[in-house]
Amino acid sequence: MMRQSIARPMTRPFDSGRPVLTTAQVEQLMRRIISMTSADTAMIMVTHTARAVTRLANDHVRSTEDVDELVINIYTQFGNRIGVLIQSNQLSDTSLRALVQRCEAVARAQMGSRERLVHQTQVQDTYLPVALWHEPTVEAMHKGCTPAAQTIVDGVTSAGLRAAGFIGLMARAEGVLTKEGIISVSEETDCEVTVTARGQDGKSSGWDGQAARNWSAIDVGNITARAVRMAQMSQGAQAVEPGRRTAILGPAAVAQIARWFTYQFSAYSTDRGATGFSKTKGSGNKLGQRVFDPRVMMLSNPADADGGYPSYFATGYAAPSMTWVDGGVLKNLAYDPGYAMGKGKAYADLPWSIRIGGGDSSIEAMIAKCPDGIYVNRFSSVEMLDMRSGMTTGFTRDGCFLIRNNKIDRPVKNFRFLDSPFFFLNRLVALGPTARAPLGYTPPAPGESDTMSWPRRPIIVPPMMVQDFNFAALADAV
Amino acid sequence: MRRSSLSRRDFLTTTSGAAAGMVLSARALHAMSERAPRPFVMGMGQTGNVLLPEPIAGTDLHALAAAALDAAKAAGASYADIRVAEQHELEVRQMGPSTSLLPDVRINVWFDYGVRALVDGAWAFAGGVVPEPASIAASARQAVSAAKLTAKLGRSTSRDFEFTPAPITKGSWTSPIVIDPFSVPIEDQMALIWATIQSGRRYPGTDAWTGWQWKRETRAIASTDGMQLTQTLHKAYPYCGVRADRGMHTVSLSLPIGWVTGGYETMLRPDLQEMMDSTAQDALRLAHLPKRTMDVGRYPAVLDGRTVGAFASRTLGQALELDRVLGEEADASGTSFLAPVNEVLGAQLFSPQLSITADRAVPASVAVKWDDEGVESHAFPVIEQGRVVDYFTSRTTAGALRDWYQQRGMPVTSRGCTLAPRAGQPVVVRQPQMTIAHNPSETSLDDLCRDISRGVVLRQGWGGDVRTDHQCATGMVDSTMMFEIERGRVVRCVQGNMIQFDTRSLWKSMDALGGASTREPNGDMLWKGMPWGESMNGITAPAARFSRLDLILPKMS
Repeated sequence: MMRQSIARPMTRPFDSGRPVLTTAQVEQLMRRIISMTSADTAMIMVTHTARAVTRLANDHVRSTEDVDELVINIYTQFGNRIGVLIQSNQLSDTSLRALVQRCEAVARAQMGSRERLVHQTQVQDTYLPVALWHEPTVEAMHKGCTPAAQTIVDGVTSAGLRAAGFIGLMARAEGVLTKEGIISVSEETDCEVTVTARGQDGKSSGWDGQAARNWSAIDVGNITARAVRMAQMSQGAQAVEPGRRTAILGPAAVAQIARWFTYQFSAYSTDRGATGFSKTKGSGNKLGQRVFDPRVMMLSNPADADGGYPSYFATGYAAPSMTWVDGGVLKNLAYDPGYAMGKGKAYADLPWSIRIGGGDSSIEAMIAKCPDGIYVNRFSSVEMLDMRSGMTTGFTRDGCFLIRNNKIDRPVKNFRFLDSPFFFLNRLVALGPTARAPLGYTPPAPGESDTMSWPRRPIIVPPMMVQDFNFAALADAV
Repeated sequence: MRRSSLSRRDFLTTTSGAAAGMVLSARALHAMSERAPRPFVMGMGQTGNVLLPEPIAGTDLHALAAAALDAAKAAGASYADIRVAEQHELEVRQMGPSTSLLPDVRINVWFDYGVRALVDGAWAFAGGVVPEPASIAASARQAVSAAKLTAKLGRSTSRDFEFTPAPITKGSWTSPIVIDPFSVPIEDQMALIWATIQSGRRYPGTDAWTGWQWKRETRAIASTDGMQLTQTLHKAYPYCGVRADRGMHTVSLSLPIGWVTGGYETMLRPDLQEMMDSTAQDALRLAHLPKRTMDVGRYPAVLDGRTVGAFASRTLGQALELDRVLGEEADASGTSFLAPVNEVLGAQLFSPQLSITADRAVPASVAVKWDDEGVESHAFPVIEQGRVVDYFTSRTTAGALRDWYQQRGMPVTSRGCTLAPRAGQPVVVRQPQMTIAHNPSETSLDDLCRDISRGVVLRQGWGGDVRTDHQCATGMVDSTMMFEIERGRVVRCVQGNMIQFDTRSLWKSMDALGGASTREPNGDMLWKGMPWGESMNGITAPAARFSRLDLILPKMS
């Protein structure tokens, strides 16, 4: 049934078909706020996000949620005094003008600093064209996702299992404007569906998901079927001895580790010996050196057909397409604008979205080549314990299987793993096809920015087979 | 721009008995959308109050709430509730190194609301940020419309769990506060920060940091049942600590000042600078300890109060959230090892020395009088002498414990453990402030270590160190504040080891508690829900000794 089209209760005047401000309206708003400032320099950032979510648990729709969020950041600075930042979500001229005036009162009273006004030397970049807005996602936000919810519940319960899941859709418009006239705006949509199927006795669990910017690419039936299959295969899990084994990691598992590469590619941290790309002795980096298996390629491209992201960052600097690793060789690091200028390098954003290149194998082919190993459907609670070594830990979840004699032998109880991609990407056996992986529940872990909200930027990875992966301990959780 | 001068009487005559749609007068509409700026004086001596707009009056928030509830009822909701809030934040801190005074000031102003509607057993939620009756009413209608669609599926949440009743309460509450931090000149706050930092960096090799964040929030909670509550919450988030460097070895210690309810008086402690000084000496002493990696094995361990709190928050606190236990978070943060309830309640699962009380009314950072479903908070035991006797519940989950409550002659009601971290976010079950009972005899941390011939002591733990699986059943701790005990004395800093534990075994092995002097507050930031949302929780715990913790040695490059 079509949901009544209701004008989203947001800033107005609004076309009721659009859940967030248009990019023109974002620009208009930012210019209005900038005109209120008398500071020597100022920066305005506006982010308007609308989310429509359906949560499922215990075979039911637990709730549906429609949320509007607006964040306005206003930064003002006088001369070389320390700048002042205020944040608000209110749009009335009265509120904004009052806040700007008070912000500037504090800014005028601030002390001087050696802080460089980097954006004063900034020139307006041109940005890669990206297409991140998809109308089918917006339509689904208006229509609601009850048919999809029905598909999930029916598909799981008809298999005698307990259904839980998440259907999330998002639309966003945002922009940055500086007093010097640097402007960048963007708009995007995104969606993700995840399904958890659990045994009625709580002793088995399967999961699957899909993420895409365009709702029409999401196949809820397939996701449900795969989660059910994973749960059915997981019944009767037994404990096996922890230790190092060959691991076949599904894309959702690889993605949870890949997301930590965001911080590893920081040029500033690397040059100070703080990342896995730092030289082993002394300071400096490993640019130009082979750091992984020659089959490994990593890149970030705002126009990536499987994901993409806004093609600017920070105060409107262009985000280029960057190849970080090619042929296993470290090709680039991310130099933030200030550091880049000092080093004579081109700047780039950290790889919040990353693609790891694939290969011509498949999960089935990997299993068929594996005399003894573990297949992992998914990792959860993944954290990087040590940036220098890349040592990462987390748990297997919702599907973990022993492989014996080149086939799935039986389901096994979950493990805690403790390994580093700087180790296991040098013990690579095979890579499969690449696709955007679902992340599911992935709140910020210690070491990540705690403003990281759903949805995270696209992580596009292959399944991979690696040797001697460290399944360090058993974990009782199902 | 006129200030809202609508009297409550005027308001009631225009809104009570509303039939449908918008009923607020145009005067009220205008008054609520425009607030006159507070006059200010430029120059030195600004306070938070001068910098921030005057808070929205509770009556105005309730007027907005009424608009939503009227709309929800008119649209066909059998029940609806709403949270409408405005929050102000002021952060004052020292920026950069402590060699020269560089104040950093941040201010945030936030308004949002969230309305929840129930139709034929189906729940839906809508949230927004516009303080206008038309917008908020539209959100309410949207929620009702979404709930109706879900109800048609025949898969709605009225399901197995009843929506337990709660007394229909009206009232207001303000968290206790002596000195409004928003009225203290920022330059005075910076002077205190500066003096505090200097007292922590008197010794060669030491440095210090200090800052704080003040939050005040006025939140209106109302329902179609007639609940009408206003809570004004004042929260203080101080962060003070010292760091001692000795070569490659750095020890950072933070002061035992937790996130609390209160105002500027929380930082005007006469012993603040003395605490910084003694903490600096402690950090120096620890930094001078030799370091080594211990052999992998099983050791007795002493945890200071803060570390016990961190463990309890991450293992027991999360596992006791009944929505997790019941599978409501299965596709998100996970389930719980404390399930099923009929096998857990009353069973001797943990050490008889472990008793935990929950209470959202204590003056911790999460203190409230009513939770976000309008249920009044009271202290209640969750674990008594090693037995789970209750869970953290909401009105939508408490019914699952009906048999247990009736067996004990207790009413089947929520324990008031819901929280919407922001008003514009859905309500979820969250662990309230917990207090772990201490030893009535005075027993110090040194006393707990005294009988240990070889073991470890962990200090200054925080929740992020404790990494559990998605049922909180097992976990790992990676702490930089682990020290080796030999013959009852701390002799070395442990380097390179991590701790692995099974939650049930851990809490079974607790064999001694510290006394009142070892009690320390701790705060944790936890995530839950999908999309995930954060919330703070508080816990106060004594030091404790555990007969066995497993030390492992991860291979690092």
